[in-house]
This record gives sequence, structure tokens and C-alpha cells, in this order.
Amino acid sequence: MSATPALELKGIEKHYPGTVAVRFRPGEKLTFEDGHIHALVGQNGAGKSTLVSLIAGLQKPTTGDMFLRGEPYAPANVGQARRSGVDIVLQEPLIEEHMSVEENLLLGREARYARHGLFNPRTRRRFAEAAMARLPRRIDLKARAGDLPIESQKLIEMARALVLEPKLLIVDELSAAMSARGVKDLEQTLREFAAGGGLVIYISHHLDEVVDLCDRVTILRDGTIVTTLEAKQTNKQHISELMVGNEVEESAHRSVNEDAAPVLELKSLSVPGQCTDISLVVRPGEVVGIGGLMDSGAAGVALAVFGMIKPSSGSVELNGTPVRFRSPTQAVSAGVAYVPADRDREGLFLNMRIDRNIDLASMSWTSMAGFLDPRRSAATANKFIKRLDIRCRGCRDIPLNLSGGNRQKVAIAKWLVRDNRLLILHNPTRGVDIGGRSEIHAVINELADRGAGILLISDDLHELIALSDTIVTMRRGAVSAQMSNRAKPTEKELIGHML
Amino acid sequence: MSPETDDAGLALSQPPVGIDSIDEQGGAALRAKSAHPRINYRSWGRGTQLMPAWLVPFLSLIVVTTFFGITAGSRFLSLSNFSFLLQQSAIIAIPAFGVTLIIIAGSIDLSVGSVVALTGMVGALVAVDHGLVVGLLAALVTGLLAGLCNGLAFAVLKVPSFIVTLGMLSVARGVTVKVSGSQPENVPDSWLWFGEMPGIFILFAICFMGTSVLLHLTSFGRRTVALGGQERVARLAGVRVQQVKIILFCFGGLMAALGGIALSARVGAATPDAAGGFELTAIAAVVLGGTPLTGGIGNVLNTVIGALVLSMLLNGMVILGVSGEIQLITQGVVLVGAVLLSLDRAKIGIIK
Repeated sequence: MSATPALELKGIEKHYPGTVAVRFRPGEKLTFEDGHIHALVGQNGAGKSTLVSLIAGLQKPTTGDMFLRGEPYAPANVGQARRSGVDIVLQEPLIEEHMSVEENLLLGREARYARHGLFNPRTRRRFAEAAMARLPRRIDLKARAGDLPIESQKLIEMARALVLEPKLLIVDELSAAMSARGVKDLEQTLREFAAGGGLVIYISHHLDEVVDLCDRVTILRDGTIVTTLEAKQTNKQHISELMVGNEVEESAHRSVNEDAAPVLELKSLSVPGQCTDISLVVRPGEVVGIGGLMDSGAAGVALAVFGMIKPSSGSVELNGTPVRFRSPTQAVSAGVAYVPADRDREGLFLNMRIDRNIDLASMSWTSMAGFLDPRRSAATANKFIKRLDIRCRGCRDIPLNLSGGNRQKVAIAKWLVRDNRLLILHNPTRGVDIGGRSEIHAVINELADRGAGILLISDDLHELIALSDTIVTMRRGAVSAQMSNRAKPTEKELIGHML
Repeated sequence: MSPETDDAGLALSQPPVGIDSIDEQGGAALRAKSAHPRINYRSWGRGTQLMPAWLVPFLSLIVVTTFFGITAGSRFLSLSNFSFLLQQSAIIAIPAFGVTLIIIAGSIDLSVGSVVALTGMVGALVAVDHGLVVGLLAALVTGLLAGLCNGLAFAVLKVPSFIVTLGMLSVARGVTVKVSGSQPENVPDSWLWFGEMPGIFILFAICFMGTSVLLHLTSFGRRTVALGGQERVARLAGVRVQQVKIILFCFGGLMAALGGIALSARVGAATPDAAGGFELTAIAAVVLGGTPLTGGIGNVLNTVIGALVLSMLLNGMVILGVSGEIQLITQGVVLVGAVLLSLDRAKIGIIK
């Protein structure tokens, strides 16, 4: 061990009105070494994000000291942290979607290639190429950034950070929305960076990845450090036990009545540009999981069933009746619910009170001739806050204050006010910690047990295997395999059907 | 299109919270986006703001009252002037209620002024020939139709509301001039009730309560707020987005018609050039009340306060003998100042 660690945190505490996000034990230290990939893991709300935001200069600690290579380090803002060689890549891509990849790569660094506000396109291209060279995969420099999949956008952000040659790179849950290939590219980039003597602080929910990629793992729970382990001497099971304190996750054991009339039946459904010739059946009480890689078209199936996009051919039958929804409103009236993948931009209103969020989808049924009863609405919200264990400060709190898992529970609660026949969920636990994940899974299981049909679209193979009665895999817009979960398919098998 | 776009491209079709440059503006924006620092939603006054946002309209009301109370004395603080102020504010506030809802839904209505003039004119013309009730109905139906046109062009034909209502501003004014033959039309005596003290106040009170109930206690109001917050979320929750938008603009037209009735009654005649530039006054009242133009937040009481502050400002300056051009300048500065405040609050609205 070297004499001075790359970064040392000492007695850090961070308070927010009403809560304490991070609290080290008195005199406790957390050190990070150069050349390491150091993982921070913990449930949502464990304090990982807060801790890195202190290091990156996004916020200041309430008490405590930080030392960068032995020197006292107290960045006032991101710019100062960056000048000290500390950079952060956040969970959400910070990308100007109307700009080209090239412009995005050099965003905020215009002064580097422009003199007196004028620039030579060739110079700019050279800078952009240099930034791109740090990635394992080329992305077309002329492409519009908004047209790219999320993983490419994140890689662009990585390149943007790396081009400043930081000594310490913080990566906050980059891989939450990435495909397998994207994760590999990312890991390679981080390994190269660490091999060059840099320190990576990496937050991830994917423990496989953490064990595989990182040198050390620090586990946080409720704002305190549980322990720091050498990644080689631990495993996924062990880490997740330390994270939650108790054992989690079990596979569903349901008996689906194969003879029951299907809730949903798709007959050779085709959606231009999304999927072709999809046929599948969802029976009451059954969870049908759809898995596929980025462009598999699974999302298109969900949107077509929900009336967001028009199918070009084929039919959708709901409880035996052919339907052709022209808008989500009609789908909702018919008892179809949809929990979109992009929770924060499609699933709920971050700034709207929880009770109002929950009310939104069922107001037409719960209101008296359009008039709402605020007390009833609060009572409903409180019921679901209790039932789903949504951790918040009452039904007047806003989802922005909640962690990912709790936000997702609000998004799901919206569809539980009325009993829906069919619930479509897209990546319901993306970016959600293990505890929240098993709680959401319990909700899904409960709904299935009560007789709802569930169409689960997920990038997460564990989740598909844990929850589904039937698993459908999709490849390039078509169904590539369909199997019962009783056959106990392995992840490898599923991936094989997707590639 | 690259072969990889489908899934993520779809999810990203909503513009992300814009960040221009990481280095310059990154700090604040990153702070807003960073995973989940828990921010107390009541602690609004953080950072640049010196006082809680909701206080600003009330405070400006107090400041304006005190200022003119001292400088203009009893002429400003008299009971008769207070009654005058109330009537003046009602004329601004009634159409501004419609604008408030439209702004909360994230749209804008620039046509109120012209629609106020048009409905007043149609009402007066019809009332002269066919009596009060038919005249009132004619005015309301005209307003409703103007709003319906706005709503249909906006929601169904998908022309931005700014452009649609800018068009209506011109069209409604043109129709007003056409039907009036460029001549003012005196209103019948029975019509005047709507422009005098108990009448105009009753009209105002009904509009105020009606709009408040509509916004706070109905599912329509909740959907209006949802539209302003994030249209796609509302759509995916099953909200009939088009329907809500059309009803909103119809409501706006109806409120403009009530404003048109009150204005023509107060003046005693409907004139083809009535309420010129009134759209700006109405928007100023909404914004001065603290409703940001970005939508998703706002309430009706604030608009009343905004209208009150505006009319006090104008009335106070008239009493002090401030010349017309200075009045105009002050009004402009106040409008920009109000937007400045509302923008600041809007940002806090996002963080809150």
C-alpha cells in the first residue's frame, strides 16, 4: 500500500432537511487507491450518490474532511473539482440531443478549438477524433446525439470526461440502462483508465459486474459504511447479504390455469419499424416475460397494445374481443395498464404530489361527475404508500424526493387503484436497488395471483426468470423462442435466443 | 437512422432537461439531476431567492399599496377608489382566469384582447335588437366559438398555441371591426348592471370560485396541471390530451366573453378598438401572480392578486399625475420584472 492514498474521506456527514444521507462513524476513514476500480454499492438511498456528489463538488459535506493525494480537498463546485482532476459521469446522460456527436464530445470545451470565437472545422474534428479514440467502439461523429441509443450517449459522456485526463473518474450507475455490449465497452474503457494509473469510483447495482470489474467494493447501508472488501475475496451473494442484511429474491411458484380464456392474445401483430408477426397469449394470473436486446422491438409490442402506436397488420384481442385502440385512453378504459421504461420522463410527474400522481389514471372512475374528493384521494394514496411500502414523507411529498425504487412504486400504484386486467411493465426495476426490486417483484406476483395478466418486458434476465411463467425472446422484431419457465431456462440460453 | 436507435430513441424522444455547457452551467444543472439528494420541498428560498416564492405576489401587493398610500394619500386609500380598483381588477382578472388555466397547461393565449372586444361587440349589437338575454348568450357563444377554433387548431391540427392565438388575435379584431362597421355600439341600459358595483363584483366572484373549483377540485383541473407538467406522462396515464386542450381553450374563450360583457358594460358601449393590447395585461396579471409560463404550477388566487397589483399600479400613477408615456414604461418594466421573478420560481419549481 502506498503512503498517501489517492483520496481519503474522513468523518464525512451530509445532512438534508429532515434526513441524514451520509454519516461516517466518528473518526472513520474511507480511502481509495490509484489504479483501482473501487465500487460503491448499496441500496437506493444508502448514500452512494450523495457521497460521490461530495467528491465531485456537486455538494458540500456538512462536516468532515477530504484529502486528495494527502492535500486537503474541498471543491466549491464541479469546475474546481475538475481542475483538481476529479470528474463525474452521472446516471442520466447529459447530452444535447439536437447537436451532433462531435459537438457533444466537445461540449463546454469550445475554447479549446476555437480562437476568438471562430473555429476551424478541421481542428474541431481532430479534437473530436482524439476524444473518440478513448472509446473501444467508434460512434459516427456526424450523427445527431438524440438519435443514438442511451448507451452510446453514455459512452460519449465518458469520452468527454476522459479527454480532460482526470485522475479520478466517478461513474454513477452508468450501466443501468445499457445492453450487454455497451457494458463490455464501458468496462474496457474503465479498465484502460485504471491501468493508466487513474482511480475509478464506480456505483452499480449489477453485482456480477462489480465483482468482475472492480478491485475493491465498499458497501453502504443507510448512509454508513458497512465494510470494504477486496473484490477477489467476495462474491455476489455475500455482497447482497451485506447490502440488505437479509436474504432476498425467490422464483415464482404459480399454477396458471392453461385452459382459462386469455386476457391478451396477439395474432401476427406487426408494427412498422418495430416488430413483425408477433403472436402470444397472456392468461389470467400469468406473467409472460419478453426479453430482447436493444433493437428487439419488444417495446413496440407494448406500445401497440397500449394504443400509442398503430399496428400495420394482425390483431390484438382482449378477453376474446378484438380491439383496436386509437389512444392510451381507450386502452386504459378497457383495463390495460402500462408502466413505461423511462420512469422519470414517462412514468410519473416528479414534481406532482404523490397522491395526485396516483390519482391520475383513475380519476375518470373515482370522481363524481368530474369532481374530486381530496380526502378520498389522500386516503387512497396512503393506502398504497402503506401497501407498497413507499418510503416518503406522506402523500403530499413529491416523487423527486424519492429513490428510484420508491418512484417506481408510485408509478405502479397509479394502476392499482382500479383493478386492471392486463398490466404491461417495461423494465420495472431498472436502476432500482435490491430491496426495492424484491418489493416490486412481490407486487407483480401479488397482482398475478389476483388474476391479472402481466406482460413483463425486461432487459434483466434474472428478473425474467424470477417472475415469468412463460418467457418469450425477441430478435430483430420477431419472436425467436418461447418457453415455459418450468423448463428452467438459464440466462445463457436466453441470451442465445436474443443474439 | 442507425440500427440501434429504436428502444432508446423512443424513450428519448422527450427533450431532456437542457444543459448548454457543462463547464459554465453544469453546477446548478448537475445538482438538479444528481441522483437523489433529498431536497425538502418546502425549502424554496434556497440560493438566489431572498424570500419564499409564494410570498412575492403578496409582498408586491403590500409594496404597491404602501407606496401609493404614502405618496397619493387619501385619494388612493379612499373607499370609492377601492371600489374603483376592484372593478378595474375584475375586468383584468375575469379573462385572465382563462389565461391562467391555459398557461398552467403549458400553452399560451394571445387572443384574449381581441376576443374580449369581439364578444362585447357581438353582445351589444344583438342585445340592442333582441334584448339582454339573447345578447348575453350571443356574446358567450361567440367567445366559446373563438376558443373552440383556437382549441381545434392547436389540439387537432397541432399548430403551436402561440401561433394559433396570434392568428386569432388578428382574426377576432378584424371580425370586430367588420361587424361593427367601425362604429361604437351603445349597450342597452339593462346591460350596464354588469359594469357597476354589485354586478361586476358578483360576476367576478362567480368566475373566481368557478375557476378555483375547476382547477383544484375536478379531474379536468388535475389533467390541466398534468399537461403542463409533462404531456407524455399524462398521455401514457390515459389522459385525453386533445380533449383537455380543446376544453381549455373553450373555457378561455368563455372567460374572455364574460370579460367582454363586463368591459362593454363599464364603458357603456362596445368599441371596435376596445381592449387593445389587453392580452399582455392578462398575461402580466397571471405572471405577476407567480404562475410561470413553463406550466405545471399555478393557482387562481394569485392571478387575482396579479390583477390587483396591476390595476393599483395604473390607478396610483393616474392619481399622482404621472404622464401616459411614463405609465407605459413602468408597466413594461413591471411585466419584465414579473417574468424575471416567475422564471426564477419556475426553476425552483423544477428542483422543488
